[in-house]
Amino acid sequence: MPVATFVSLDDCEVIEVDFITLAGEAQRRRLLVDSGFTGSSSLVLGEDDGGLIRAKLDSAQATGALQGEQKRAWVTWRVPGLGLQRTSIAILADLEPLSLPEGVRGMVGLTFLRNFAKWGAEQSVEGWRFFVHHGTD
Amino acid sequence: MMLSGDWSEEKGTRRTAGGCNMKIGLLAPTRGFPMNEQERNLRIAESLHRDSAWQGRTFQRGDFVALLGGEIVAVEKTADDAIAALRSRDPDPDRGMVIEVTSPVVDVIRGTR
Repeated sequence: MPVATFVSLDDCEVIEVDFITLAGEAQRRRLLVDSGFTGSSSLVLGEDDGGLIRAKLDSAQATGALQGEQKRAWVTWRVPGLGLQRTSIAILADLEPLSLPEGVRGMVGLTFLRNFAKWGAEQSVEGWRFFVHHGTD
Repeated sequence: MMLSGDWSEEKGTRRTAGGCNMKIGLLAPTRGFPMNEQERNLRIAESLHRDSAWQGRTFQRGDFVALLGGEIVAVEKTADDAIAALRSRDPDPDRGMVIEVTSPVVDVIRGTR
């Protein structure tokens, strides 16, 4: 089963994702992993990442760290080296309220994680790593 | 077809899967300014989410509907196919939208710190 791993930050798990633009370019983003983020949206990206979108959707309501009506768009992503590519719904928002670590440009939630056969974190001599496994379908 | 309307009529309240009460409105034809493309697309999207239907045409839950210029231009079984159909008609990502025929769901983002 193919697996991708990512070195954890001091106080959160992160994943690196390539977004495939309409022009066919791959743009990589480091995103915070938060399984407490639930709903129909899979990701939160910054408003300045509109270049990643492939099509818009109607806006939808959010609650919690982001409140109210949120702009949404379809984005196509893949995890490097995993052989998995999907198109999912991303919220496009001001990331300031999320207090993300430096270098982290958005979030992935439970709907995103459920694209994988297995996901989690493990400790090694080098520290913690977040992993995702892709099924053999 | 150009329609004029405003958010003048409330059609009730729907309880979402997330347990939140959402007021459902419907753009009603009234005298006023004509709708722009975005408003026409949103009117269709609202009907798809609420009724899985638009102007007598019904859709299956899970269908992906591409909207452009206030009209349905494609109905597909995957988001990728609907997006491809939309972009083949207009490559500008700011134009049109692709709607999944589902009930509205509130996203919950519980915070990271």
